[in-house]
Amino acid sequence: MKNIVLIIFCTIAVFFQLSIEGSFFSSGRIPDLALALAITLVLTMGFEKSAGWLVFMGFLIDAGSGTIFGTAALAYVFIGWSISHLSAVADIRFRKILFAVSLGTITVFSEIVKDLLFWASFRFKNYYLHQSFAIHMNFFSLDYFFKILYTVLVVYLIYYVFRRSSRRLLQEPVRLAKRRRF
Amino acid sequence: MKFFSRKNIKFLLIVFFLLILIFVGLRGADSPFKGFVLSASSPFLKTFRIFSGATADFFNFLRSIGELKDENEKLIQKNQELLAENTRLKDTEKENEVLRKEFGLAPKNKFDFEASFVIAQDPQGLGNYIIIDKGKDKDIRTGMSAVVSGGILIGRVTDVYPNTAKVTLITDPASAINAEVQDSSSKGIVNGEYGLGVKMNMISQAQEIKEGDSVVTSGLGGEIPRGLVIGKIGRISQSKDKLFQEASVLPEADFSDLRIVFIVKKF
Repeated sequence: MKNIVLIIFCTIAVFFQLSIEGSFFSSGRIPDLALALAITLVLTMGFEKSAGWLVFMGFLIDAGSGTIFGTAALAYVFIGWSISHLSAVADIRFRKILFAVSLGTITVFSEIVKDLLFWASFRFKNYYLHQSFAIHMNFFSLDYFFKILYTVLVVYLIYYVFRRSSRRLLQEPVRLAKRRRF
Repeated sequence: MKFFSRKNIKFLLIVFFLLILIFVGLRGADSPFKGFVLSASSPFLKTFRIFSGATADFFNFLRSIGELKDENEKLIQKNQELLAENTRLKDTEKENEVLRKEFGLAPKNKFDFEASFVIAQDPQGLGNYIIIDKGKDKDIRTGMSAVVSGGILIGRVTDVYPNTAKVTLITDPASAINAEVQDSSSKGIVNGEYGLGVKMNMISQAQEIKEGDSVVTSGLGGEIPRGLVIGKIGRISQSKDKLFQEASVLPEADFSDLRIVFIVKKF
């Protein structure tokens, strides 16, 4: 049951990102739903339990995008592993505002790290295939600001939905769920 | 904290496996897997896309109610201009037919189009591409042009899978299209820029171009048919080495709202 629910969560997040979001958000401002779910999974399940799902989601994103196969999976795993080292976040999970700020900050940095990894992968691909065109990442544009803002909002939403549904659907009490939750 | 903890070892193993996969993928070995995943997900992506398109249309309609009056006036004016242009073009068509007869040229072949749905698009904003629901099964091949209604070029097919294909848009930095300015016949190359910008480079200094001139494909190279509309000339400037002119191009197609595209299979 748990695995089926997680497969559905991951697949829907990727399908939404590839197919639906483009109809509502302009290019360059599309929130990263898969990253939002990746952050949520790591925060709720821990890195070791969520690593397989991060790779699965990364593969789906890679299949539907122009990146080298494995890039998104590598980015999500790296981000997940980094987040899992921030044990302080778990400690403040029950201080709502502080946790919300931390979650937002983690998302901002995760998005930047992920985009840097993607940009590096494109550069590497160009170098390897001897292509001369340049890929520009403009981290100081309005589009990028909105992309991060939307992603942060999506992380809050997914985290909330996932925490609510995980206890019912995953048939497994989420760690520390009996205490006050965010 | 131990460095060789279970978590770190698991992380390193996954990273090692993924790095191998990336190196293998660089050689194009990932194509069958990408094709399989896209084939399996294509019906879902298509359904989601159609549903979201209809929903987005509804919200756009609600938002645009206030702008309808202005829009209507503009469209009436545009319609009148197009009627005048149409009459002129009909004359030109007749003249063309007569001249073709005089010179013994065969009638110009019409394009062989394959209509296809857009099922997914670039989620990263780094490269600009779309995924369409037709592939090898419909004889789509790499290099074919993709247009929207009215013969407006949007990109070229760059990857083909069993029943899906990837179209790299002209706004992608990797895209390079041989183009010419219709009014002055100045030749150049249209490249994509970050975001949805397009630029025309390598325009000879000897040629005169001006803002508002139409940019169309030149047909050089033989892969893309001649005369497909790309956009209009925007701001004109000099290249860094001052050897050529360059100009921003305002694309005719709305890349943020692509639903149905046509692949030019034969021209």
